[in-house]
Amino acid sequence: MNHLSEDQVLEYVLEIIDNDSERELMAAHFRLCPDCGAKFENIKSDLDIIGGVKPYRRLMQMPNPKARQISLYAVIKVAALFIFGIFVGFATANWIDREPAVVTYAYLTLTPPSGSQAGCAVSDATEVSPVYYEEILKSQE
Amino acid sequence: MSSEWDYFIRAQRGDELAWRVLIGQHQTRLTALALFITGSATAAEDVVQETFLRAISAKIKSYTGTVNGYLGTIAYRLALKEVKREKRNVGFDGLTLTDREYTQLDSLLLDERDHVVSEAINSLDEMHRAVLLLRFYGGCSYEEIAELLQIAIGTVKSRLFHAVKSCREILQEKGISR
Repeated sequence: MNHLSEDQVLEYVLEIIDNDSERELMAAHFRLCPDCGAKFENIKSDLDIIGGVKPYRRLMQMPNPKARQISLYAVIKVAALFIFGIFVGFATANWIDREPAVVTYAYLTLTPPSGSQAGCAVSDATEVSPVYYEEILKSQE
Repeated sequence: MSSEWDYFIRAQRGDELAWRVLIGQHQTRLTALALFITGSATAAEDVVQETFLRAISAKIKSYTGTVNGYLGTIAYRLALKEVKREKRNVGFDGLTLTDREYTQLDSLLLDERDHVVSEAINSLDEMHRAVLLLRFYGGCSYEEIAELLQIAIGTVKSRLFHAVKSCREILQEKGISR
């Protein structure tokens, strides 16, 4: 292999030449040829300098990823509980016992119809609790 | 999936040690990248912090690229956004620094050699500087740079070649390079 130019060596170092067989040949040449080997080392050194600027930086307080995850988890939990609570509230609103319907006097027959067996006829559509039945009777006295 | 992604994933899951390794490996170069683009120490710090915050909370779909490139891409985009937000004298590629910003950047470089390098990098035009910064400080592959800048891979390689060659000439003039 002939000597390599600076540009060729630079292309090798920058991995612009990406053909494996060509790179192997060049690498072997760098090992064998002192001049080209020196060019290779110089260029590598220059690239380290160009890419090696280290600005002064303050020691930053980086967020603790664990704390950040915990707090986020806590927020999600609270939000989920809140939303769940709202749904439970709406869902159970219908489970609360309603006050029993009070059957008005017009629907409640206290005296047996003539010619029939005595009994209280209560509208089938409405069930009256005994407590309210007693109160109705008292109010009529 | 490579071992560098193992560290990253463990950091995302709250492993403090992995988190500190991640920061140790990437904070300095990302700070340099953000500084070169924004020219402001405060802005660079914000960019780097936001980069790590976004990285640890991101749901990554594919681990095919490198952690370097992943973080570098986030930092680059955030830095450009910061520049646009501050309405500095920049183009969309975001890398033209005013004299005022250059001074601030310069003041943060402790090493005399770094001053010369920053001078060399800042002497490049926007297109060449973007590619060089993304390659050397963003840690991005040629494919990642091409996708980010919406140019062909061949163009990326060509611009990087000329950017590095130009920087080397300046380093040689200043006696930094052999």
